[in-house]
Parts: sequence; C-alpha cells; structure tokens
Amino acid sequence: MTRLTQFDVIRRNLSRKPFRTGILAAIVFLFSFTLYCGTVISQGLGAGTRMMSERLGADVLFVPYGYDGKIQNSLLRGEPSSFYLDSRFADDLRGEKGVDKVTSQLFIATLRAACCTLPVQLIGIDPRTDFVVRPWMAAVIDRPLGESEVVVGHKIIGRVGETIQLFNREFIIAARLDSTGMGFDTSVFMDLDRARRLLLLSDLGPHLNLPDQLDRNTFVSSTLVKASPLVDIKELVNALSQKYAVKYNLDFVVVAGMISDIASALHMFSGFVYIFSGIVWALALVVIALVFSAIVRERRKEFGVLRVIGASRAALAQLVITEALLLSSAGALLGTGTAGLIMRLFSAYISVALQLPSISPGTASLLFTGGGVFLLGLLTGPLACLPAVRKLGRIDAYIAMREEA
Amino acid sequence: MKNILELNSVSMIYGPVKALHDVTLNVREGEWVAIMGSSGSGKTTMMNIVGCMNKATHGTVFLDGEKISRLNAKDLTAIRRDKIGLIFQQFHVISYLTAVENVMIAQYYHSMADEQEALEALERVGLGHRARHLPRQLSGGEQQRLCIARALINHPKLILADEPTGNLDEANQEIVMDIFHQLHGQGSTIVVVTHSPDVASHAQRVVRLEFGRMVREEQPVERHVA
Repeated sequence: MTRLTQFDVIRRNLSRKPFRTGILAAIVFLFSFTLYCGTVISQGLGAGTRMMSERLGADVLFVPYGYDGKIQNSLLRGEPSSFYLDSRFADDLRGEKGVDKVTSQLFIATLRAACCTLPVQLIGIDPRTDFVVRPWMAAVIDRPLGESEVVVGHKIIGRVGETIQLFNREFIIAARLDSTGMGFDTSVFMDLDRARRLLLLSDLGPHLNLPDQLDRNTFVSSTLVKASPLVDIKELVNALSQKYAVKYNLDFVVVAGMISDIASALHMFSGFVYIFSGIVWALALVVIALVFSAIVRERRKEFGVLRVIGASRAALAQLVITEALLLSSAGALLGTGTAGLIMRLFSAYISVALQLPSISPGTASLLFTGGGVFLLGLLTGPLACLPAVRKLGRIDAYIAMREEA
Repeated sequence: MKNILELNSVSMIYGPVKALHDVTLNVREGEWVAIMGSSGSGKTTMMNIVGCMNKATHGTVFLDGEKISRLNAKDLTAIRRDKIGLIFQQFHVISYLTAVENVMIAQYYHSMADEQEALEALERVGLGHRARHLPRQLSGGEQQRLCIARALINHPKLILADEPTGNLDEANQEIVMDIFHQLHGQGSTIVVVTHSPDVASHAQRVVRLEFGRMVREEQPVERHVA
C-alpha cells in the first residue's frame, strides 16, 4: 500500500538530489560543529579562569629570579618544575605594612624514573600559614594530613585509600580535589616539611644544587602574599621588591595580572570563535538562499502543477520551508552531536593544547548549549529559504506550465 | 440543463492591452465546448479565469452557481481543487513520483490520498499496468493519459483542457479523444481550448475568439472518418 503525504514528496525530492542535499546539510553541520565546539571551549576556559581567580587566593607570588614563567606554567598547565627560595623571606614579610597573609610552598617535580608512579608536580604546603590550598581542600578532608598521606589533584590516577609512589615511598591518597582546570589538577599536595624531607632523602637529595645561602632544612619554592584590604597591589609589590629583591634574588607574579592575561586570551579566543561562527553562519545563509532560489526556479513547473491540482501558496511555502528544515535538522543534529562527542572525548587534550586553565562544563550546561546551537542550526535553512519562498508566491502557475521545457 | 459555467461581459486588461474584451459565454452541464482562436486571441487568458488562476478585471464569472469573479486567492484555490480538472498540452507530471503517486498527490491536496481509487483512475485511461512506473518510463501519450487520470481523480464538475493533443501523434490523439468521449458520455462537462479543427470537431459547440473578443459560435464541422 503506497502512502503519500506532502512529507513523502519532500523526502523523495531530497533523496533524488543526494549531492545537493548533502552539501547543504554539510554547511549547517560545519556551522553547528564550529559554534558548539567553540562555545564549549570558551565556557570551559571562562570557568577555568573564574575558578583560578577564586582558588588562587593570593595577590602576589614571589619566586626565585627568572622563575616567574615556571610558576605560571606550573599553575596554569601543571608542568612540573623545581626551584628554591629562602624561607626567611616569608618571615621578613610578616611584619610589612600592607601584607595581610603570607605562606610558602615547595614545588618539586617528581621523576619519570621508577621511583614514582608518574611524573607530577609535588606541592608542599605549610599547614600553619596556608591560606591558598587549605580553604578548598577543606571541602574534601576536614583533618590534618597524616605522616604518609597526600591529597591528589582531580586528574591524578588512583582512588582514595589507594597508594601512590613518590621518590620510592608509598603514600596513601587521603582525598581527591575537585577539578580546578589549573595545574593543581595534576599536582600532589603534602605537608611542606614532609615534602622537603622526602626530597632530601630521595636520590635527588645529594645532587640538589641549592644556592649557598639556603638552609637545607627550611628552603621553599615560592612565597605567596595576600595584601591587606584596600592596598594598591602595584605599590606593595614595588615596595617589597625594592626592599627584598636583591637580598633574596626575587622575581614576582601579580595574580591579577596573570588572570587578566588569561582573561584577555580567553576574550580573544571567544571573539575568534563567535566571529568565525558568524562568518560560517552568514555563508550558510547565503549558500542555502542561493541554492533554494535556484531550486524554486528549476521547479517552477512542478510548483505550477501542484498549484493547479489544488496546493495553496501556503502549502507550497510549507513544502519549501520543510525541505530546508529537514536539511538543517540533519546538519544541525550531526554537527551538534559530533561536536558534543568530540568535546566529551577530547576536552582534556583540548584544554592541554590551549595551555589555559579550563574546566569541562557539566552535562546540563553541555545539553543546554547543544540545544541552543541545534536550534540555531535548525533555523538556518528555513530563514535562508525565505527569499525563495517569496519568489514562489509570484509564480503564475498557468504561465509556468505553458513555458517550454 | 443548468449552466455550469457563466461568463458575463468578462474583460481582462493588462495595462494598455485588452487580453479579453466583453466576453459572454454560458456552458451547460454535460456540454462539450471547444474554444478556438489563433495565438493572442485570448484563449489562455480565458482558461486562466475559468480555471480560477486569475481574476477578470471586469464582468462576472459563475462556476457551478458560485460567483468566482471576486473570490480571493485562497478561495479560488479551493474552487480549482474541488471543481476543476485541468489538462495541458505539455505533460506536466512530477518526475520523481510514480504514475500512481502523481494521481495520489492530487487526491492528497483535495482530501486524502487513496491508492485504490488512484489505480482505478489509471485503469480507466489504460495505464493500470504502468502504475508503478516513473514518468520518464512512459511515452508522451501515456504521460498525457496520466495527466487526464490526475485531472479526473477528484470528480471535477468541469474539465478544462488546453491543447490536450498538441504534443501527441495521431494514434495517441485518438486515444485521448476517446477518453474525452467516454467522459462526456458519463456526463462530464468539457471545455477544450484548441486551434485544431479536428479536435474542435469532437465538441458539441465551437466558440471562436479573435483579439480578445468572442466573434462567433458555431456548430462543429463534421468529422471525416477514414
């Protein structure tokens, strides 16, 4: 039994021109894919930057001279590195005007050799003074870390209660932090004194090339400063640098500046994504509009026949718009679906490749963005075919049918 | 017999051109009328008006008792769909639909596609065996018969045929005229526009148009049967 509706006519017409149908759907696919990937990456970077701003807590990071780039790489991308600073600098800072909180951290890059489960950034934190990591560590562990316990970043392999080997010693994973989108995700945290002892007792210990003035029992890697409220950070950094830069061979990173740089990079990236998506969308609209104009011209007689046998102008408009809608829906569905799949499978690689802090948006956010992009893709065809639909209304059925083939 | 079609002082003016000028014509139910005239005589304009695809600028038109001369486009579409079966010189079929689907699409826009009825319509024009073929697999004569089946599927009150045999060879022309005779025999009203005296000779009455005016009405010339 043959069934025939307007939808069957549309389907049959689309399938008889598979190349044209495929090209038009591919244009909508490209638009949906670009917009969805770009939006999700932008969202991830935005969330990563916000998270970084919230999580870092400090206003200024002091490091040994020349290591400002290293600490940024470590914080942003989790690139393991080791560098050493005199711990007395932190004591000196405590009495300075405009300084609210001071803490030190020790950064140790673990080896790729058999001593460790994997090469990671080991960060020693001072439990007495830390104001950077402990506030958000408190969400996963509400007690001091034991002698052989560590807290691991979100991307470190191993479950809570399992062990991880660092410098030939087994440590129990006491807790796992939530994703931060920063280098902290690939870091392992432990007590600062314990981290220092671990390093000195390791194979690296005898070969540690510490500057002469550093005390082997108290060295750190960086000193983090939280300024008092209403203090101008720039002026504070200038004052502290003038006083201590030479004495301790210092360099510094202003966190607001670092975040502002990231925000600028994000802004540029998002701008590029939306401009590129806009160009692809405009291209899709123009191409579909031109093709549908040609289709209406090519099918004048067919539309004339349909008018003569009783199809109203509205029915013909519906026919053309539904064709465009079907093309769009196929392109938008495939584009959004493929982009969603790729973002799901490769988001970690993408954020690493971008070298910026990034957090994958949650499922609800992915679905919401996907829905929005799909809708926009879906509307592309019907919007683009409107000029052709207007032309359709001007076809004189009788004259069209009398035209020679 | 009541009039199925009435044109009263109908004129159609396109700017300075009077395509149709003060035409008055009545066609009775069951009648077969031929409209003859040379190119530019107003035949097509008249077909357009009677076929509800255009509105006369002056005069009134009644179809099956309904005044159609002042209806809007939507109502004209409904009248065309429900009361008129149109047949053209060119075989206007939808290339990607099979023969039976070409008939069913007319049913679909009228009310509801019914495959059985569509197959019966194809049987009536001798195309039952070609129902599943695409138009490109049919000869010219078969395509024209398909157009006739499609025009008849919704049981129109009036069959309007514009040069229905213009593109056919003699054998197919005969087949088509035979179908028209059958339809006429069953009570259908037929208006044929033609400039072929042979086609016009099948009609009961011939109306001649010249330069947009109806110049005379005549009895058809008797056909010579070979």
